[in-house]
Amino acid sequence: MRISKIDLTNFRNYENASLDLDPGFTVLLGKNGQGKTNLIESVVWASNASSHRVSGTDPLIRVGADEAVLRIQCRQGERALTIAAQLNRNKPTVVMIGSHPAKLKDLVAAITTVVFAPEDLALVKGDPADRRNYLDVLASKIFPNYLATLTDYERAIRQRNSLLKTIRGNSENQTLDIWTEKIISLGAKTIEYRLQLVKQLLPYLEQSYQNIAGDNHHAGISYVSDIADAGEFSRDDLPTLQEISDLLSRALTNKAAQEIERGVTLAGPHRDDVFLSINSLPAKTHSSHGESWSMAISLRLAAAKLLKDGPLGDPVLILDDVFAELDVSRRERLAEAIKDFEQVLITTADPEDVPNVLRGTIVEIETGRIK
Amino acid sequence: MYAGIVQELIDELGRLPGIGPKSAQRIAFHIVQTEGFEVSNLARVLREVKERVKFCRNCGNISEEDLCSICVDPKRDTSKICVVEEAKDVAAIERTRQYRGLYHVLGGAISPIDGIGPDQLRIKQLLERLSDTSIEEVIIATDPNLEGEATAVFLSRTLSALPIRVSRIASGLPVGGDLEYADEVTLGRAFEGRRTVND
Ligand SMILES: [Zn+2]
Repeated sequence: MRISKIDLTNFRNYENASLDLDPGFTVLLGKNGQGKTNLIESVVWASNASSHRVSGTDPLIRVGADEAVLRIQCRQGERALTIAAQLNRNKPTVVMIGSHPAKLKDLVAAITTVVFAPEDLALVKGDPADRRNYLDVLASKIFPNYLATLTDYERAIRQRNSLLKTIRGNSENQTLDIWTEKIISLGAKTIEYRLQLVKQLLPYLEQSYQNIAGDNHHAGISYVSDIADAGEFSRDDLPTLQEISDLLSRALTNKAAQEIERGVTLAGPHRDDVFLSINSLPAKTHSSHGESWSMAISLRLAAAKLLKDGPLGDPVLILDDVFAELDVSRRERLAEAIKDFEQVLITTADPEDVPNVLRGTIVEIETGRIK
Repeated sequence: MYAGIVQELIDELGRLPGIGPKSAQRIAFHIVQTEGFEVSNLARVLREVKERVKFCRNCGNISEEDLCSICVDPKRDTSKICVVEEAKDVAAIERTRQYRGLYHVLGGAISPIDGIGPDQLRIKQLLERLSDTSIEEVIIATDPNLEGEATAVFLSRTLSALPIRVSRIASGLPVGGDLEYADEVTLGRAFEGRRTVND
């Protein structure tokens, strides 16, 4: 897949901008704060229905404007597709895919991107939420029903927590078990998808880590949850949906008293994590800065290659200011690993940071203008 | 911003659901600029609708009388009650012309975030109506989303002790949607394909 054209109106610091893109490598060059990341953020938004930098749409609308409009044209093989969206202050976003009005969640199936960004170090060193988000974005691309399941699950959690808070100390509530059943069915389904994803990712991560760090290094990934013993979720034969439901149900029963006391749901996929290892040691606590970066890049690379081998084909790779974070050997190894992708968009403040093999078309950007 | 009263009109229109700032401005200017625009009739209807329309004592549907036109219609099948969230769902189901029974409007769905539990809905009134033994079937037609499903589970559980067939419309409705946005054919089919939930 590739992006052929970006048109923006009142998006971030762009009053009006239009950029044609070729397949292969494009370097968006500009000093910090000029808007090069804003440009690719529009592509990320059209791909994930959310930004990789901020939540909500208000920060994406140019200061002083009521609405931002973005049009992203892309091509997958012979098929051309245009995504258009109008982001409004205080009103829902309006989305068109081709000539049809669409829902926000439909965007997720339209354009696939994988973004490498400076914030990616948090995948290794950050909170469980960062790693869950990595799985969620990728699972949404791979399993058509994942996003709907997760969205319903998260809403069910908010409903149940709200109820737990109002019934403090009174477990006799007549609707609590209805929400508990919803949490179990939606939560187990969410976990089942994530387990499948982690299983599919593992060989790609092993390969990617060796590409970046060298052949004698080994990376591992497994799904961890309080509802199961360590190792339960990294077996070769994954547990069935029924087994996951039973585990989640038991965990919720065990925590029932504590939940009513604290007013929050204490078990389920919203509290799970991904365990990453480098040479059998936990990456979060035992990896050096360089190893952490190798792992972070490898996670993105593994996601890109997993998508590439799937029905959606090559995702558009977006490298947002990421070379500045890497030493020369990691830059070269990353460049080597991604040079066969159909399209790679790179933002940088310094062209010298970008390995020679990736220096394709150069687009200069200054104060919200494309030169 | 426009001067005084015009801006006030734009602001008032903009408060209505589905009308954004641009539409509000367009409607306001239409009213202001169109020659011969008959404003007194619109103003009268707006005022009277608030004065005259109330909720049916029996089913909770909107009505100008104590009882709504459906509850007083002798041709309706009084052995069936269809339970919906809002009065606008009654209108959506009526458009299908598939259903000839009575309705019961709950006034929403169970949603703890919004402070709505079973006691905030017209469930007690439904149970009172069901003490009339001529009612044979209750059809639950809450929205096919999370809150609508939770409400349906609560209702089917509450009604399971009664000697009444309880069914749920489901098949074919887009999951996560609102009943009122389902097209007539889909909604009609969903009625035909309802399944019993208390066997
Ligand atoms: Zn009535």
